[in-house]
Amino acid sequence: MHEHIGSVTSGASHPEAYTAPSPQAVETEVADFLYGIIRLTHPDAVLETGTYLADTTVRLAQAVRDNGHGMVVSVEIDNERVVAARQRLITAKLAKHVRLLTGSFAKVNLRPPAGQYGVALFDSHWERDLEYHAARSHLAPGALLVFHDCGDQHKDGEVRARVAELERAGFIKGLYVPTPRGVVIAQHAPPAL
Amino acid sequence: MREDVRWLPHPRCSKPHSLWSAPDKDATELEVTAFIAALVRLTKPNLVVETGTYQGHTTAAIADALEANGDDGWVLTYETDQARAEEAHTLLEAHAAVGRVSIYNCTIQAFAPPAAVDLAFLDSSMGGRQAEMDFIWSRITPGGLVLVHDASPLRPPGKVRPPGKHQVLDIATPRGLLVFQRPW
Repeated sequence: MHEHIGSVTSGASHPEAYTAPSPQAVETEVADFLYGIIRLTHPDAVLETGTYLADTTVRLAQAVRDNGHGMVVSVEIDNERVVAARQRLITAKLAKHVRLLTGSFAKVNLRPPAGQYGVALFDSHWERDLEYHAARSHLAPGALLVFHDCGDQHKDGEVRARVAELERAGFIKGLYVPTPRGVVIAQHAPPAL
Repeated sequence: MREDVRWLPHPRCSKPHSLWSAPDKDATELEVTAFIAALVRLTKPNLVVETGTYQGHTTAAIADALEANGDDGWVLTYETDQARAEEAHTLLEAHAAVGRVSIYNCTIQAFAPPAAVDLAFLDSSMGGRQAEMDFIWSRITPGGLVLVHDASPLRPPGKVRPPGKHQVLDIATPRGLLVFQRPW
């Protein structure tokens, strides 16, 4: 097992094959998948809740840069982490692609710089449903959403249960992928199929 | 090389004529190929199948992703056109991950995968996709994924559905991409 992959959700396929840059960071494979989604769908804006040390923010910003348009908005409640994240983005020459917001996702203004969010990563608080509702009015129809830490080891499954409730209420439709920490890949205001 | 995507783009795709690229007008968009590779890295499948090998570019990307996973992953790819199958074979022979690829010059129905399939990418003839879905669905593992290319709702593959319960993402690329998941 990679040193930074901590607890593993039940049903994880090949957990030993995943990697992460630090114990609190998103798995590398999830960050790379987000890069792929952004390159695939060319969103006007990308939202991230829970910047942490900007490991994933860097990947999101690379995708926006490679698309040639768009902007990442990333929210972090811890001011020291925001300072560290900002420096990291400057060093990576990606700062112009990211707007860092300091504060709780529930209190900052999440309005995107232009258009609507076509892609969002919810990875801040345990209450993923509250993160979703804070951003909901700014999400494009059909926006692709990644809810992190949905494995059953997180808060005894409460994180995933809250995401499942969003689905039962008809706000989203999603797939579950048992990465070590578990992710739900969902669609906001899904089209009727 | 950029491609002008002219035909029946996905209605939710806001900029279908300027933003996506492909090696030629019939090949899978580079962004879709990269996305499939990222999905292989994310889900760590043991067995991947692809229909419509064409020149083998997406097959090679899948094989590279399986190699990066480091497990015993394997991709089976089906191409009914013999010249294209040979062209893909030539491309893949020179590829580092060639040992993870088997090319079949037939339909998937003519030579079924020998084990349960974790991820399938259906990209053969437009009119044949529903039959492929009907054939492959029962062979998909619980939680496994089936991707349908060219699946704008305005095009025939956009009407393809699995014959059983599923979850779905409808991704608004210019040509459209549907991602179905079999229930866990």
